[in-house]
Amino acid sequence: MTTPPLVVITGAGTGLGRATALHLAQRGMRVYATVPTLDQAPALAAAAQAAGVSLEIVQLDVTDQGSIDAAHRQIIAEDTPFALINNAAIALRGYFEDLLPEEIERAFEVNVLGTMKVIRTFLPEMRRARRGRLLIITSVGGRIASLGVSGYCATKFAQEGMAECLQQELKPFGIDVVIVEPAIIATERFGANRGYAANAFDPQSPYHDRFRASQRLTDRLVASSPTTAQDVALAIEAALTTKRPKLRYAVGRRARVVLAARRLLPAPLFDRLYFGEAMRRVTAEAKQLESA
Amino acid sequence: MMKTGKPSNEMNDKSVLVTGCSSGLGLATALELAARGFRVFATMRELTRRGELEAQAAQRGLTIEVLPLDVTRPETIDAAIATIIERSGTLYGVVNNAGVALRGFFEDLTEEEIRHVFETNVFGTMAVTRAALPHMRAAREGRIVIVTSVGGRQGVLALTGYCASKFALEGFGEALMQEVKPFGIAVSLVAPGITPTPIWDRSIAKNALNPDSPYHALFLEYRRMVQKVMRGATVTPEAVGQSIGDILMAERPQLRYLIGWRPKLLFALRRYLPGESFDRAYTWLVLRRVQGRARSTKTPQAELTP
Repeated sequence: MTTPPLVVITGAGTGLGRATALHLAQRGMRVYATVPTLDQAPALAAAAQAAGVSLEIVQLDVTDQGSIDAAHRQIIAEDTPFALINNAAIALRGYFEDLLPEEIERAFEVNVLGTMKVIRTFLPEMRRARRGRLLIITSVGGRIASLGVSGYCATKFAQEGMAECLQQELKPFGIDVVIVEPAIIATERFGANRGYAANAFDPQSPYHDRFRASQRLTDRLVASSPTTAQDVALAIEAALTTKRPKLRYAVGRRARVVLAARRLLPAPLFDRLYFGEAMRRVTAEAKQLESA
Repeated sequence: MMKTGKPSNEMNDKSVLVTGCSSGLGLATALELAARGFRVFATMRELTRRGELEAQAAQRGLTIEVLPLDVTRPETIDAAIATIIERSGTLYGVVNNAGVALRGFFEDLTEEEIRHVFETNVFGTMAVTRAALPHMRAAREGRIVIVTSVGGRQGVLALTGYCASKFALEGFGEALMQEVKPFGIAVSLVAPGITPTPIWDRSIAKNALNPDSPYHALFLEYRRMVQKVMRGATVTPEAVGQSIGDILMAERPQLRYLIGWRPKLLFALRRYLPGESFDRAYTWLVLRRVQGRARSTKTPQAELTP
């Protein structure tokens, strides 16, 4: 029997990363689950034990090259990864004018430059192995931007662009690049890790009512979203095990409908319908908040 | 798409700030807007590079006010906008054009080089927009134009840092459009096809041509391909300037504009070919030109099999 493939997943301590790490381990893959800080390790280890699987938990902070190098050394000592799943990311919420430049830069530091650091570190061995999968977990927000998340969406769009370029660069070396785009899912990203900017709720902001309204709408979307972390894990498994993976896997039925509509409708019409509706809803909700 | 707007006097009181005006698209846009009657504040990092713009403006009898502005230095942005408000009282439009390019296969790019691209293209555009918005909100009207690129909607090899930054601007602009529309401000993303401008000459990464890189042969062929594409480029800086003029004068500007028949054809194909067949075909075509040639020329095979 051949040894099962080794996969590395970043940001595995919470949410999608954790669900994916557990799922892939259940499927018999050798999973290196990395966490930004080791205080996330006990809960992850407990979850693995409860699921009856084994994970290698390694500390890796995508913004810290030293920690990436250490994790890389440890992993490479065992084997060349078959797949690198770039999942670590942070959120940022607030209307653009209420975001501090430092907050936006921090989101880019983690989501874009951090992801690039990890890829740059792991790529040489994968390239020499002339096979492998490079996954980047973006978001439907990397295809369609929403109000109240301009900074976050900018980072996710950037990841999409980076992945499209890398896909072409790495194909001659036998490496497939895959973009996974989860829709809104009730994970920590939309709960404790929603990433509110310091001034997002500033009552002096001209956007105050509209932002509050947008968050109430988001709460409702999260609560009613039928998509689960397990759906994302399944899509990732498919991308790892299929012979010829697609470039993009959008996860979530509603998201796929919207993406299809965007593709098929003329842009100005889609913009008027979709973004127009988003703005109308926020306006209506803000009015309700005001009168309440 | 749209008819070229005629010069009109009604734009006389409308101030427009254009960044990156020492050459290329910014220079052409500043001239075009001035010709249409806007009060143009053309900015650039180094005022020493104002000669070309001033010469062309003088030749055409146009008045353009030139100000220093480095999008990576917020104090210069504040100073430029303060000057505009002081001189003209308003700021109707901002054309975020300043940008840098970066060419090289991803593994040959340093983090510092990529960071510099983001600082200029993304954070710089955000900084200028951040400084301009309060004035537009107060006036309850305004136009924000962000010059992105076809590379902001379709990635291509050897441009990872650049495309990522332009994609980021597309996402930023799309979100911002929804945030500021209730205040009477329109946001438009303008994506020109490949335009022969000086930005490309300065854009090759330090290690892009490193002969020890596993991508060396591929990059050489890529560069040859780009030179050929540049020679056949059909999009001129003037055409981009005209489109931006139309956007600033349009009653209800769209969110996105593509400039050039080639990109229009490309995106129509991407839209209407089923599934991911466009992506596969596009990658295959690009790689066939780059890789196929790299293999068949005098390139030692060793370089391709690292």
